[in-house]
Amino acid sequence: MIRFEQVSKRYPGGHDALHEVTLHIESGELVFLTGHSGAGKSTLLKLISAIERPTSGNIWVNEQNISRIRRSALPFLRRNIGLVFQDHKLLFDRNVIHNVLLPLDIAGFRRHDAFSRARAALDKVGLLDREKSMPVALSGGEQQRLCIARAIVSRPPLLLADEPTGNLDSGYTADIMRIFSEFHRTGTTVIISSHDPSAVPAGRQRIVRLDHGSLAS
Amino acid sequence: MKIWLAHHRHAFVSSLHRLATAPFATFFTLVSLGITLSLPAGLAAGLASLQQLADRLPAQGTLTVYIRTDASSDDRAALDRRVHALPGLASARFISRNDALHELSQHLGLPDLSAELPDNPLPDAWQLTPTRIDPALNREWSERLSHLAGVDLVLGDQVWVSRLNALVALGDRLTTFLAMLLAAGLVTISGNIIRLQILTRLPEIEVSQLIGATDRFIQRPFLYFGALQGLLSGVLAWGIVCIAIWLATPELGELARLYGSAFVLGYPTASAGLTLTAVAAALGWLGAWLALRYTLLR
Repeated sequence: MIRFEQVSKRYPGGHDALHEVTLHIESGELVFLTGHSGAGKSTLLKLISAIERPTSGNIWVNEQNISRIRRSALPFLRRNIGLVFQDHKLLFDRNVIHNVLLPLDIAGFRRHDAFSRARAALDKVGLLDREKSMPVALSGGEQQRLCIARAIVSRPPLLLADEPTGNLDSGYTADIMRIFSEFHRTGTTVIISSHDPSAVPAGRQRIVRLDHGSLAS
Repeated sequence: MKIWLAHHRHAFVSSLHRLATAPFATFFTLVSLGITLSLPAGLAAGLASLQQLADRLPAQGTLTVYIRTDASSDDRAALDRRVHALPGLASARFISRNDALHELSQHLGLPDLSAELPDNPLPDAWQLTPTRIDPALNREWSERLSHLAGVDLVLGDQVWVSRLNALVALGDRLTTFLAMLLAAGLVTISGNIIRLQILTRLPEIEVSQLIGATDRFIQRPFLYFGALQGLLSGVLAWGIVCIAIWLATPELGELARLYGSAFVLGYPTASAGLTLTAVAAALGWLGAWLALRYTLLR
């Protein structure tokens, strides 16, 4: 599903975030991306969603080379990717359900269908009773769950989560990891980055460790 | 197609919603845009009325050729031929001195004028009407005819026609200039409002881009907003012009009556009003488009 071939990324200013990374992730895998902060985890996720472009090398997502993807093709790539951000990126001018409706509006769903889908997504993350609340009234963990609901509402085949538990205490962390593994069980490819090894639940999932921009294992 | 319609409906409803949720801001913006637009629109309406007045004037650049009382019949025949060979002639009417006296006595309401005068003092004359009001044509005719033997005097209202035409042309030019200036003003005001909107909605735009919104999807609500804002200000300007004309009509009618004129300031026609609103909507859209071009897609 995702293939990195000798991918390097150097940011303007000369900082090498990734160096010659070659990586293959199968469809339906659950992958944990670990490493110290600054190891290149966020960069790797940004490259998959084409938020950043590689300096060299090729990246394939769904058989499409996205290293030199045209700007006009970006939206259609992104619609197949659910993004969970460490800082949530919620919209504070609208209530919970309207935050979840945004991807469905973009995809052009009918209002009625969109609402029932959004409620299903909120139910999955346990926020159904908060649909009319404003995001500012939610706790940190609830905001992160809302971000996840928005990422999964259009049922993308690929889910990328960048430090989803970064600011949360361990109780919330387990909660959120449970949501991700449930989602993975429905066949979705899930990639989760975390600098905290204790956030990775015990199990048989694949762990990819980055060290100073290179693969460590 | 369905998705496309849904997107447009969504953008339209959300821009309507945004106009309605900030009623004060909307009101002030619309008033400023409406007043801006009403100036050239009002001027154009006044000018259209003036043009109508000019077109309805009885003297259509008419030229009168007075014939000397001692002109020979050869001179008269030559003049006759020359008159009918004039370029751009609509009609030529020969007024004999007897007819002229008769007309004059009727006009003055003195039926026995001819009986009271020992001798008819009026000359024979040709009254020539051109196909169009054109000072240059009048001058040309005057030059061709005034040197002929038997012609006493060529009198035209060309000076007056020239003045009116020059005035209308000046007004026309002024209106065009003002309209262009204020159209640019409208685009700028609209563009600036949209620019501020874009800045306050940057988080939403950023998130939308991250989750797969196309540029068109992001731009659409702003374009709708700009067009809608322009449209409403156009309607407002239309209203302002109509109210101004309504307020001015009694005094203007009185003034015109004192001058013995039937001048009436006409209300803008429906097509003129619709054109105004359409142009305003287009300018609002243009403002939004420029703002998007320079803030969003940089």
